[in-house]
Amino acid sequence: MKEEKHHFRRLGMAAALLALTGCATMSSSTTTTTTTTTRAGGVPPWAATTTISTKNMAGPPPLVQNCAIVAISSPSRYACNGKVYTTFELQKLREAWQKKMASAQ
Amino acid sequence: MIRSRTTVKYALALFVAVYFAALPAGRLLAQDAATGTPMLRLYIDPKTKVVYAEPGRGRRLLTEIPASALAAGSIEARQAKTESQLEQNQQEIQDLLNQNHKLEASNFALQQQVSEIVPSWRSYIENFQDKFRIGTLFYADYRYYTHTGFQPQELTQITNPGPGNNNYNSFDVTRTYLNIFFFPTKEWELRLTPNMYKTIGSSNIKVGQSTGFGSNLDGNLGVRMKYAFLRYNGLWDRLLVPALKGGTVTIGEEPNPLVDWEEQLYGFRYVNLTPWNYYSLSSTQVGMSMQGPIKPFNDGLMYADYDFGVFDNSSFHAYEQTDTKQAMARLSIYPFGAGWRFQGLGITGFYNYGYGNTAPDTADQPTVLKGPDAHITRLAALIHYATEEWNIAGEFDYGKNAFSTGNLFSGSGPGDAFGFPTGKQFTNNPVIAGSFANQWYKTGTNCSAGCYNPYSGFGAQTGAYQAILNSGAARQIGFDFFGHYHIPGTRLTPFGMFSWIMPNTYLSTNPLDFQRFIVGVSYQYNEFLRFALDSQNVLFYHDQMSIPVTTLKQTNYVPGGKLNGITLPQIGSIPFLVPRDTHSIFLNLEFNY
Repeated sequence: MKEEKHHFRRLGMAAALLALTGCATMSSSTTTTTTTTTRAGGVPPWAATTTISTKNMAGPPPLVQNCAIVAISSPSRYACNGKVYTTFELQKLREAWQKKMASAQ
Repeated sequence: MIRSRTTVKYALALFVAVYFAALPAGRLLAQDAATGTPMLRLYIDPKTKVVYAEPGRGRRLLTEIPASALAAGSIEARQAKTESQLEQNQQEIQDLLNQNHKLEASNFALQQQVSEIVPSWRSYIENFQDKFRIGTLFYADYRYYTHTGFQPQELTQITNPGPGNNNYNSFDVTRTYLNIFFFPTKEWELRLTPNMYKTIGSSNIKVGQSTGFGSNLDGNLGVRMKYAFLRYNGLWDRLLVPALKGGTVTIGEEPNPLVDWEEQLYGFRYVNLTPWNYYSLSSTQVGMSMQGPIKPFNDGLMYADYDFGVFDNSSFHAYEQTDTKQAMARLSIYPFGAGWRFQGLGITGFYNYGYGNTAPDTADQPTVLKGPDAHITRLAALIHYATEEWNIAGEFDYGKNAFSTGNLFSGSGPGDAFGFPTGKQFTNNPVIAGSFANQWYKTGTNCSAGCYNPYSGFGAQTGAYQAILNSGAARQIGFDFFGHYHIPGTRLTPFGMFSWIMPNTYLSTNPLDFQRFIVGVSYQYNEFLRFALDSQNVLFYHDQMSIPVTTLKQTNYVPGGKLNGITLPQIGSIPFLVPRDTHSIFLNLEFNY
């Protein structure tokens, strides 16, 4: 019931905006980011990263070039597949994957 | 039968006691021949092993014992002494044991204390990374100009030598942040960011009567503080306002509410400046602000974020002179909610109201037009849409007195705007009717001290530019578009920005209206390093024009006034007011760690 209420609220706002902007199509994102409060240097708190682990990594990791900049900071943060990663985390994931692929060959 | 030495001693003592008690009084012990000491001699029969007190057949002497040694009292005394010694030794041993127990207890307590200290120290070291962070941001470029010209700077303090210097090129370093963060507790953050900047030389100095020192600032890479602020993030947690959780309070030299936010939305600050930053608004202010997300529902999505504050009127690299302050506020709304910053559709509004950086005793003087003392207004309205692979944004800008000749020529400008007259002036005295100078100077004018020749140099034009932009009654209107698209499966991202600014719409046709466009492609080498190849262009798009002096009088132009001590045109029209375009190619680099 609560979710329906939010859904209708969002639809109402979307309808108002469509009328104003005249945009043809719009996709609304329903991705929810798990925002753990990782200390971020010079980054707004809403750009906190999602806790990640290189263990049990099933598929290829997100690549930085496929991600959106969330914050240019120390370190920078990118949004990939709905989650927010630091550049260190992306590097770690990529290198772990490359190592895994190399050992599998 | 002798069993042990102790048994023998007791047996002998008993035997002597009985012997002396039983024998007649006249019977004496044998005496030692040498000393005369009474001796007890004992004899043993080897066959029967019986001990006798007298010699006999088959018996041999077993031992001789002095009588004093066998005195019952002596043995008992020695025994008592031994027992006493034993007791004393036992007491000492007990004392030592007690002392040892105390030492053990003390040692245990000490070990406990040490064991408590070590984890705290280790914990501090292990958690040091959470209390301190250091990072860097480095921008560099190579640029080549097919056409140089007067324009605002493309990036922080890079310049070009102006029109007539085509093929100018340069390597530059335009940013060297050393980001230092301290997090003494979970709620507090201190940021210090020194940054380099390119110095523009000051004048040489005279030393003594006949010596001079050359300025060493010209082109040097100096270091200054870009950010120095303290930030608190626990306010809304303490006030129990969950919708505003994560909001911060910042004080010090800090990013202003618009520029830093828009740079990160655009994503290519290492290539070019964002619109208001390009026009006039510094990215950094000194003051106090609040910022944060608004998450009114329990779905984890951000529906708005805000940033507002009060700051000095001066830029962060100038002295504050005013008795007023400027205010800035930005609100970004995400009607569908944003899972990450900028995600989806966003609508942003920004407003800034402030004053020129002038001391009160000067600003308060009555003048027709306030010029640099006037109030300053900036407004930006954006609509933007962002996904992980692309984004696009449109912006409307409005300003009052927010774009001066200092801003227009921040990258390169006519020498006349900086105190250096250009061209060859008229020196007629007087100006004769029908002469070339008579087009701009009334007959009889004394030009012996110099009158600007609009056909030589840029003096007359600069006078007009200053009137158009610096009157204190100029209105700016601008439009901007920017965006990027990541090509799937590659490391390439084409991007672009288009800006159109009309620096004073009170003039029906303003020769200084211009457009800027940047188009390029970025290559993401790895998580820390990007390159971009791009074209950057400034187009003063009006056809070349002249403006009559009478029209310029509507702004702050004073016919016959002085610029650099040289007289400005009094009559006629000032020609060649549309500056030349600038075209360049940049190769940019960003390293961020």
